[in-house]
Amino acid sequence: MKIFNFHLMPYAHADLDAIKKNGTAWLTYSNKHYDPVLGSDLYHQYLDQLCFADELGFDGVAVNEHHQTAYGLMPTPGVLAGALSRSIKKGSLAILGRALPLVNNPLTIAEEFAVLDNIMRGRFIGGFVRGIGVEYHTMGVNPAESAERFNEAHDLIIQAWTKPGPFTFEGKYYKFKYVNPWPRPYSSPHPRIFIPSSGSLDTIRWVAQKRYTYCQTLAPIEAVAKTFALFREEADKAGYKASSDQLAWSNAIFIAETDAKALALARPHLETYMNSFLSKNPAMMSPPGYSSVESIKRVRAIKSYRSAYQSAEDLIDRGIVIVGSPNTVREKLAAYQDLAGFNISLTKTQFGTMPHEMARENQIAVAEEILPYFRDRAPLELAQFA
Amino acid sequence: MNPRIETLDLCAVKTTIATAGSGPTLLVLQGANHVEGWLPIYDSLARDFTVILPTHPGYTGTGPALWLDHVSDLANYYLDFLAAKELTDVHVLGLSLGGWIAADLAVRDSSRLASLTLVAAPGIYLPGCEPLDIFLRSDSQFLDDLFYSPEIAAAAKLTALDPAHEDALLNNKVTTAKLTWSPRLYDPDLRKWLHRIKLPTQIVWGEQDAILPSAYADEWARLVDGSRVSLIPDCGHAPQIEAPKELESIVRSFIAARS
Repeated sequence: MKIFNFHLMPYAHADLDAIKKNGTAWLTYSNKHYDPVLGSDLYHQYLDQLCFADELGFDGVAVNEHHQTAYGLMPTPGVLAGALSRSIKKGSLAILGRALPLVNNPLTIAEEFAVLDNIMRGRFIGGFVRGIGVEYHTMGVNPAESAERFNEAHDLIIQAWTKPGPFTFEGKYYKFKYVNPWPRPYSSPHPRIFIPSSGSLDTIRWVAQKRYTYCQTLAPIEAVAKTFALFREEADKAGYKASSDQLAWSNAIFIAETDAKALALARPHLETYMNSFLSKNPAMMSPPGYSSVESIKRVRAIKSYRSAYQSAEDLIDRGIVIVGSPNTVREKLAAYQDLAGFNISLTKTQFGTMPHEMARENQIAVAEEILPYFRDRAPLELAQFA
Repeated sequence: MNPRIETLDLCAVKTTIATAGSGPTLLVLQGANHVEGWLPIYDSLARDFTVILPTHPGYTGTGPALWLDHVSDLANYYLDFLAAKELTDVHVLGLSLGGWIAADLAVRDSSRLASLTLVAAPGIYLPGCEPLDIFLRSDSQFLDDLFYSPEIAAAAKLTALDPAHEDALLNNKVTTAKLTWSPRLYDPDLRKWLHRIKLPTQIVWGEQDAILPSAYADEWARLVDGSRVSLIPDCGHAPQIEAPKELESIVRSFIAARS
């Protein structure tokens, strides 16, 4: 299994009472609560953690994109990837991903990824997402155009990377007389593409058809297993057998000497992450047109979804995160890998309000106690077929 | 009174048209909520007018309208509609989004129209006067915003939030987002050409409109030559439900004075 170190870069100094009073850490949580002196320290600590991950032997590091929120301070992930690109000497560098419909000119993303892929000499992984629902409020883009814009921007970027320029692109949303970006990507035909998603059937099917890698965002492991099974079915329908290297699970891991100590140390940071930083306002998170009418009704039907307070125990019991002694974490990760059949783990070692030193100790523990045991480990069932 | 219901297949979209009464034509262009159906005020007006209430393409039960991207597409659609139905001397009552469509189509071609009544119409932007962000409100909160009277809001919730309307509400909200998300609830080009409207025009607004402040009434009046404003006290964004008698009397006296 490949284990990436994934960072959300949360504003760990967020005023939790102010978030509670505001009802969400997104969109309407005023940026007057951002302290640039504390924030600049966080940027350096978080970037140091990702460089450290490369030194420790993680298979790669990953950043993502969110806007106008204390949940994550990476509105322009390309800048952070640029800051990392000269320091990540061994592993891969992934942006998971850039929200294509949120920009007016997706050609800039083709350029940005191509530059990063050149600097990384092909160790760059490009991710494409639609952006989560609330980002259609923050960025003013029409959510009813989201899916069409995503598809069109994706096609434009792939063509820009693979078709000799200059050529003309006339889409519904994007129109270019000249498409001829310099540089071309270092990788041939283009960088590896990972598609993070919360699990919509349309996305699963599309990723399988494109033979990209599907990344499941935070979800209970049983649901992850079902989603990955669907992915394998969709690949079968598309006429090939999906590889476990096409399946990535996004999680968080925290390790201490004993299960009890790990739980006690991780609890405040995990619970802040899940209950203060993640938004639960449906009107904000699911703007009209962002999801199909069917999927809105499906989410409404599961009324308990994310509505109640989530304790650290809930998160651990449902297999959303893995917390415990080295032995517990190894056993669970192996069991989950076999259950769901993934061969990539996108692992957060810092989450919520967790301070720098604690995150670093956790990274060391994962590097020493987990990475060596999983380096050559494939999912059990799939290994038997191989 | 039960209106006569017919289906119209126009511009590759099947819509439903409700018609009742006799006399001069009163075309009602509905708002975006679109689940109100045939209201008592239409019965009253049908005593002296032929009231025609169409479903907008893209709204309740019409299926997708592939050409529908902007409110101006609906304005052009209703020009085709007027021609297809061979309607002339039409009085238009445009409610909220329907008022925007009515203004836009009158800018394009008002040869088949006799008068315009725009009720709480979006479509223009008045700097510093922000509409409520309807897309951050739940269905239930939206109905609280829509009416001044909490009792009427409570009654509206009983019907509008009926599970039978769930698909229609969700679908209509998507179409409304498609048409109005950005720029939010207006078309920057519309105000440039409102001087082209030479029809008798009146602007009607609920004084307590919490969705689109009544200051917009004066801005419309400033932009449409010769138009006049009628404000309805103790009324929110939907006078057709909250103050039907007042709205009916405003419509009748306006049209009577110009016939």
